[in-house]
Amino acid sequence: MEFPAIWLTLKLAGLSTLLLMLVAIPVSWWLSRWNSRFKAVVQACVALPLVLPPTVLGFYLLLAFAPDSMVGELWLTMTGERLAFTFEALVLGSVIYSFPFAVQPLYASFCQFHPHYLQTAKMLNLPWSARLAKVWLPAIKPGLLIAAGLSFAHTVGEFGVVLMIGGNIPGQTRVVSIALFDHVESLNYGSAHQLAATLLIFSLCLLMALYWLQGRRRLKWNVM
Amino acid sequence: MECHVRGQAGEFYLDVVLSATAECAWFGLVGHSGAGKSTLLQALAGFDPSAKVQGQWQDIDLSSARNTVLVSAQTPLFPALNVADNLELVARYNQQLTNIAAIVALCECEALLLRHTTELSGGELQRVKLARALLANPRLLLLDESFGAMDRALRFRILKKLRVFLGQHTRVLMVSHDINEIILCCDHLAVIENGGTVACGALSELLNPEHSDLSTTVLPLISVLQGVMWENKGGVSRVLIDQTDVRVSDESDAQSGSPIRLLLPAEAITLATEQCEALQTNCLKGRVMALRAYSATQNVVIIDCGGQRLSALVDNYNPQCELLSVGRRVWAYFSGQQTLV
Repeated sequence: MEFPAIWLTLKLAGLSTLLLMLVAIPVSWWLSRWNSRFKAVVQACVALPLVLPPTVLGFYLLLAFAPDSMVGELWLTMTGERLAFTFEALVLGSVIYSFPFAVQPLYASFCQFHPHYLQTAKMLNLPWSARLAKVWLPAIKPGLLIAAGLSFAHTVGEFGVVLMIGGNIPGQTRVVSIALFDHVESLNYGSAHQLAATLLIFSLCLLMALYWLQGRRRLKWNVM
Repeated sequence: MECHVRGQAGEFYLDVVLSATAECAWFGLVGHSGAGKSTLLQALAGFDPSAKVQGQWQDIDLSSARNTVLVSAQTPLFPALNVADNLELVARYNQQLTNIAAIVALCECEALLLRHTTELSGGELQRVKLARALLANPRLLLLDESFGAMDRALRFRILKKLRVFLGQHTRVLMVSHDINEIILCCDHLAVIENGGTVACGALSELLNPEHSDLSTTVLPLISVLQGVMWENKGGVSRVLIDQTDVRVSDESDAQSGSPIRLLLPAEAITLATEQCEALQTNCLKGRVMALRAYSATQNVVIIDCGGQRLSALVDNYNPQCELLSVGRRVWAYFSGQQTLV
């Protein structure tokens, strides 16, 4: 069993999910409260990774991460290391690749969250900490869990982007999906089976847990 | 009290001026659906930052929306918390924890405390919302159809308790489609139409049939007669109005000998120019004071009834109508299905 690859995959998915939540929550909130004719442009950009072949995204990211590009150069001066074919590049790529999977559920739950709830809480003299903890957070919790779960699962399952910008460096960029591809290429079907089944069962369990949560935890909003 | 509110919502413009004497504690707002009443209250509650509010009600600065609490469909309960936690949360941040029991009793929410907010009926929801609003210790309470889903006895009971509880500490601006609620509580009234004020003044002035042009649009023609509660037994109240014994099937909790008001809609009255012994129903005697057209087919007759004014409607195509002239003795008959406040 490829434990280093599994550990690397979990580390990548965990870190990407954390970063995604930090970025996606404010972006989704702003998108749900923003009304402009340019909204469609922003929404399309956010959703682009959903429809693009991962290799297209990977290709452009590879160009962007190259030491002679702006991002790569900035990274080089900041850290003293090249960005392409590193774990950091994978995290960055995953955040971009999984962005719509975090934004969509959050955006939906923010749109459902009527401004009257926060207005009422403010009117009743609740401080912002209580508004956040007692009104806002419980309302968006289902969306938050689904967004985090989908981001995690999607990052675990990514292949094309990783292949383009990460390569196959053990302990650095050799995640489970790459290891699996490697095993198949070298006709090592036994190890491939092990990894494929692990991924399949893991993803199935995660999705089942998410759907179960969604059915059980969804708050009813007929209290107007 | 002076208040000027301007606002805009899409194509709808709101420009309302309200005024009343300083001692006015409850102000009523009536108007057709879509007239702008709720928009006005939301502006006063600070829900619409683009609305401009100016005014003063005693020492309350209306422009700040501070200590102003709205109770309406736009102020939902917090769905993640049950009823008790909704109330407790608001009480804690307003230093009202010691008042929870009294306010819960006032709003008759004792049996609802452990319920989830989604399990409440419309009337229960309104009671909990009112209790939660009171726990925020408001100086200005805005009630937007806050009793509509409660039955009449409960509504009147809570309103009477609320008036005593709030006393002079809290001013109330109340929107209701039930004119009886307004008459029960408010001393001043404004009629809102198409985002503007059509009429504003003391309740006794506006309900006076001299404003008959108004009555046809929004205010129903309704007479408020002062009387004294005589006896209250078995769901029938006997009230003395101008020495006449009037029986009304309204369960009032007023004590014997206490003053009470009888609300008499004009369309409930049958007018006779001679006493009619055969009619076994309530009757008030009076003299015609004035007569004028009310609608295309109806005239309003204003009757002096022992110093109190009573308005009745008669069909103007009826030949008997010609018998009604100023100074003529008349008998006003009405059933006992009336409201006491």
